[in-house]
Amino acid sequence: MDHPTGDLELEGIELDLFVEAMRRRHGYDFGQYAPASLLRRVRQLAQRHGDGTISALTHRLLHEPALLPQLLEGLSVPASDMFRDPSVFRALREQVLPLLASWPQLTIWQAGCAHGEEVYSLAILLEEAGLYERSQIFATDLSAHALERAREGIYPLHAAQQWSRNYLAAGGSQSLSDYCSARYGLLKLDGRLRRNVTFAQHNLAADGVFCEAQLVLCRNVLIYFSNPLQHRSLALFRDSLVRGGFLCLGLRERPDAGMLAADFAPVDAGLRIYRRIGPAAAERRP
Amino acid sequence: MPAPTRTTPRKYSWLANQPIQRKIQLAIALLLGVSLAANLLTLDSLRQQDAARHWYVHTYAVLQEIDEINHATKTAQVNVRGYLLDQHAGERDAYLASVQAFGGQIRRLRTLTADNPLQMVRIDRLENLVTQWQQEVDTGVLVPMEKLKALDPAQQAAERQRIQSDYMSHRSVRAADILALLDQMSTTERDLLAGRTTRLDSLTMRTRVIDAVVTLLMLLLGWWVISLCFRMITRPLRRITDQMNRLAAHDHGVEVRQVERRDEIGEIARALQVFKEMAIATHDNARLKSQVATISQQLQEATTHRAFAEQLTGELMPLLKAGLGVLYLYDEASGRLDLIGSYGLRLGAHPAVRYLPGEGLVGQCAQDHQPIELDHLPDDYLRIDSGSGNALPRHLLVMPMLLRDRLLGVLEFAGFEAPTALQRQLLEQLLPLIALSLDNLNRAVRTQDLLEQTQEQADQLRVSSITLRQQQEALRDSHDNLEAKTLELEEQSQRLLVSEEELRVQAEELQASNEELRLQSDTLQEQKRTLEALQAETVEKAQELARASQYKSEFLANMSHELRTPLNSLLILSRSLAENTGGRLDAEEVESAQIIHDAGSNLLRLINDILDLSKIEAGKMELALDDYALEDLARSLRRNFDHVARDKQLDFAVQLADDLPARIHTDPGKLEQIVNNLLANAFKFTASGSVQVRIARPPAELALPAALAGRPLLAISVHDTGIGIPADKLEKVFAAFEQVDASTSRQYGGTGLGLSISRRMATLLGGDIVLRSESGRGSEFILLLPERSVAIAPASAAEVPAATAAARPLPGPALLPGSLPDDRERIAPGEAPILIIEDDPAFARILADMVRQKGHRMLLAANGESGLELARRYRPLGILLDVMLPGIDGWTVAERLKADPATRAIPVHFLSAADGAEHGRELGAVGFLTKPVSREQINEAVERLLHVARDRTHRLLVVDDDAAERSALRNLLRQEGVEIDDAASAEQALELIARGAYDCIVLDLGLPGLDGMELLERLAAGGSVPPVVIYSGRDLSREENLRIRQYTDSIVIKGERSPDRLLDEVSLFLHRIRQQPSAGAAEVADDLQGHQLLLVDDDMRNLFALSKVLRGWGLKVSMAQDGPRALRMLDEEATLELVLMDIMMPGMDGYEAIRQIRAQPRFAQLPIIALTAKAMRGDREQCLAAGANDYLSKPVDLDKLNSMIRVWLRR
Repeated sequence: MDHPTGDLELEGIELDLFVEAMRRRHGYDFGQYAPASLLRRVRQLAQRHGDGTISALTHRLLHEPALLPQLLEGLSVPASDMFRDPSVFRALREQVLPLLASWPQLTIWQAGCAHGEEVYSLAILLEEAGLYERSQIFATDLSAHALERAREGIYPLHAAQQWSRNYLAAGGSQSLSDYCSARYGLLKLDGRLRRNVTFAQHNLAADGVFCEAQLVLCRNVLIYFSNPLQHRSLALFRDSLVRGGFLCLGLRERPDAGMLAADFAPVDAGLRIYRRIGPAAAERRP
Repeated sequence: MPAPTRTTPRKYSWLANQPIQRKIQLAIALLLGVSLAANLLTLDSLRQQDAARHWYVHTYAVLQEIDEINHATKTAQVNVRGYLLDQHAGERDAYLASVQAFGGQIRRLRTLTADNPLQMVRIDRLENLVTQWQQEVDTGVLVPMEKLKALDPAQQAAERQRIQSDYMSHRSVRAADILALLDQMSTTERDLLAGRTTRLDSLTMRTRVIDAVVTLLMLLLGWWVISLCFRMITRPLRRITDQMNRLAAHDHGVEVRQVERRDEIGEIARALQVFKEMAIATHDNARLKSQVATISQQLQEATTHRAFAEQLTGELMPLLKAGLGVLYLYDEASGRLDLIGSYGLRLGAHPAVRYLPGEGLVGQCAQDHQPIELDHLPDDYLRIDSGSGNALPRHLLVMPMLLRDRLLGVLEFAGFEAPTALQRQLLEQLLPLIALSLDNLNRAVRTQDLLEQTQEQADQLRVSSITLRQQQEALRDSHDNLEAKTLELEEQSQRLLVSEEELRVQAEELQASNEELRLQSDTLQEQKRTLEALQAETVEKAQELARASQYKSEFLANMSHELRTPLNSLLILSRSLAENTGGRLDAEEVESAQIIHDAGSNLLRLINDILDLSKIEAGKMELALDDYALEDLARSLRRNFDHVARDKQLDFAVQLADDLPARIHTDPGKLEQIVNNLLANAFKFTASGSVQVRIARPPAELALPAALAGRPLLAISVHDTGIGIPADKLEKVFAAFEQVDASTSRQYGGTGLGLSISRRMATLLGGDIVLRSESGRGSEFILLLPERSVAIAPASAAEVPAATAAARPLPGPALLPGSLPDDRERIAPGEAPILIIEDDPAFARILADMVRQKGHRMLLAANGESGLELARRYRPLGILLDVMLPGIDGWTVAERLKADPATRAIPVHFLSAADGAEHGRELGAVGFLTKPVSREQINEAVERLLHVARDRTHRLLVVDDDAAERSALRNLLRQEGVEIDDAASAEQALELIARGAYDCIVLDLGLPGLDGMELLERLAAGGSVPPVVIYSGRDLSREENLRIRQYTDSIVIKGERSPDRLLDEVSLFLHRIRQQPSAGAAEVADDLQGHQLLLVDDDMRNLFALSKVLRGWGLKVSMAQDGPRALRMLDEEATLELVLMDIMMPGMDGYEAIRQIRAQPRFAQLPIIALTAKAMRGDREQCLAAGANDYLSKPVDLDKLNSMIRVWLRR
């Protein structure tokens, strides 16, 4: 549906009302998300779940609680690829994991795991580095639907070729097919990759720190946040990381240099991999 | 060749002509008949035997019956006798029974002998006898015997005898009679039996004879029948079978006989005959067909006409026994018959190679489509020629070859004989086939021609098709490529869409932030410009000021000299003139000189005042403190002003109160100056009345300025009864150069500087001047003075310091909480505070500000003891130490610092009012400053401290039992300013630690003797644990991890990249302060003391931090890292009263753990508080739904946690 410029103001009002409704009815605060991308996604949701107007969607939001998971899924990060941006995974493999090997137990937090492609990529990386046994991975996302999909680990088969290429480009020594099986046009990842992974719902806009992690990954989530929410998320990551822990963001992210410089030193700034410097918040309240 | 049949039919007997069925029937009937007869006879004999047997049985039955009656009779007789003898009732009964049986037996006997009248009569008789006998017995024996019962035994016996004899004598029938009759009967029967036996024997004999005869007869008959069968049936069958077999073996010469017989044999023979003829016919047919087939097959093999003709004629002519054959082919196109082959034809004997239809016989045949046959050919028609001779054929046959009425060719052949039927048949069958083959051949030839043409064309085609195929392949390849590329493109485009989205978002963000930045930079530019302008102004002003003050100082310096010098001369000279020692001046001149002197003195005073004021203002006024007796002051005042009072006729008194100390510590000169000034003013402005000076404690009702409150003060009050000062001018009097109004100076003289100078001086001394006045009634100036003046650094002269002096609190060993705000609560690890030990709060504040400005945290102690404590606990980077301290002084502090190994290395910088640089250096201080000190000097001191601190050597201890490892670590961790010791065992390490503190320890867990864990525990028990980095070669389990976390969170597992991390951790530890736990914010509440809690969290950092806080509140804390361990602990420890459960845990999450706890009935009431990082609305409900009693969100608000725990424990 085309939106002539004259309606933009109206749409802005509708969007605000939608966000307000979401916050007051269900407690999810999307007010801090980047407005333009939020608007686009809400428009898509309006098309899919209503007659195309955001007001109709708001109406459904208020009166049909059962619609919430689908809306949340529509508003959160879309599907991704395994080993997306293989150079990053290669860097993780070559520069980060060998350092992580010096910790006795590893806790890894993947924030915004969407449908889980990156979680499984990470699990494969850890498995090949022989670190999987002492790892505990927390994969969190806002949308319960997405988590469900991630837990299943079933993806359409047509992506397999690209992912296999990615895997090899990320330095994989075996083959992606060793970790999955294909049938009925679908790709299913082995259950054994899941055994040290905990999937849980977590809202970066509202919830707090819940673990002490050596590695935090949050790729292509912060770009959808406005500055204050980005700050909040970075603060969460900083507080979750141990001394010398690693943070990995998405390639497109351009985090506030000021905030980063205060707490993080770059390991590879081009690939958005950082390391926690400065004191760990050991003495902060629990 | 068929064999000739028999001409004469045979004749057969009637029997032979009978069908076989009948023959067999007759034979069997005959045999059966005989057999039947024999059987009948046997049957008959059997019947008779049967009858005889029957009679036997009968007789025996009768005999048996008679016997029984016999027996019964006897029994009865015996019974009667017995009864008679002993009168036994049993005998009587037995007799009665036997008698009864008689009836039945006789009846039976009657039945049995019903056929024998004689016996019947006897039976009647028997019956009668029996009946009679019975009666006699009855009457003679039974009845009388009955009557016997009434008599007695002796009589009975006699009676019995009598009865017996009676009976015996009276009876008529005796048993013996019965018996005899019975005998008779049985004899009769036996005789009957004997007769029957004899008869039977004879019968048997007869039967035997008959049997033998019949058997013989049968044998003879049988043999005859068999032979007949053989002749009639078997032999002819065999013959026929033989013939059939021969026929089946293709013996066509077999002769079939017996065709005339009219039975089945005959039929078979006749049929066989037919079969024979059929077989012959079939054979001939078959041969014919095979010939045809052979020929036609061979013809089909021919590929050319010539070959065809050769084959045909070559095969056919011999079969037809023709000596000559020619074949003409009809060519439709040209309408000609061409010779294509011949057999036996001598070429040269004018063979006609072509005919036209209608030409000659051949043509004729061709035209008519009919065969032409000629017999009896003339002699010279042609000759069949063979090598050894030749002859004339007799027969000629010309046949057309037609296919569906289309002529294909003509065949002509000649032979000696006319063709046989078979041959004709052959021809008949063959010709169509030949025609067909010929046709096919024609087609084939035609096709061949076409084929050759086609092949040529095909070759051409092939060439072009190869080219085409190559092109096709090329096309296909490129098509495949395109497809693959298309797929890739599709995927890429999808990915592009996603990244486009992100890029777009990023771009928007960039734009937004660009805007912001632009705005900001614009604002900044503005500000910068403004700032620059201001700066320029300020610089100018500062320069001006500097210039001005420089002028002023120069002026002062110059003026004080320049002014004084001429004044000096003036005064001296005027004085000497006034003294008039020469006596040369008259009184007026002396007075003038005096006036000059006075004026000069005034001028001098004024100049002094001005210089004083400016000195004070410039901050260059210094105090010379000393003890001063108040009495001296009083005396001096009296001395100075008595005459003035006398002159003005005013009352003047100086009073000293009693409760004053004898001496005060102040600047006597200035004090006097002030009081003199006040008194001078008092006298100046008082025309009549009195001027009183009272030196005492400040009167209670006097409102003390806030800054002076709380210190021991003196009040020197100057009370006059002069003109007073109106209320609205009260402040103005202290302003420089002002008098109440301009007229005052004219009237009363004075510069107006005095009061302001006095006030400032009073402030310098630590006091103030308070004014009470009423216009027209007089004024009271009260100089408030501390008993002990302190040298205040001039820069803060304007600030009135907070009171400390009066109550000098004796410092206890505990730190004074919150007396002065410092940073002890806020020190984070890695930050190096600087310790300031200074009891003067104002100066301490200044030092603190400077330290903070340099970016360091600051610790403050107001006395030596707490300073030492702070130094020990926080190990500051450096110490700024004042010497003059309450309690122990700075020297002692320094000595003690050096004596304690924990604080020995901390650099110390002295700041003292007294001189003692040498002493300080002896004590190893890095510097000494004498007060009053300037900001720059303080700065310098701090810098020096920092410099030294940075250069201080760090001490590192490496504990590992492997020597190679130790030396490797030494190499790795070697740095400037780091001193490394090593130990091979925990015991060695403990020794080394006792000797001196270490900034960091690198510890291997596996040690001989005490292991690493035990070492840590020992250190913890002994006091504090230094910073430890665990460097372990083996993986650690979660439990070990937990244990180690109590002491340190720095664990490095040996690996490829572990040296990097080890280096980082060690560097961090070496350069930071040892942490001491800060006192908990909340106080230890008694009602939490001793309660036991279970804390469940997988985040070890949280676990330790929270448990530390909880323990600080007096609670006992058990820890578990996951749900299953928590459940185990609840099982094992029965004294747990409350559970704090984290929600987000791997494996079993908090909700599940809570549910499982609640599932056990004994934990249904256990308070559970959930701790969750999630803050959404539904989370609280989820926690409660799982069974928690309450919930807290992270980060945990400790106060809230405290009250929540209290609430739930109380329940």
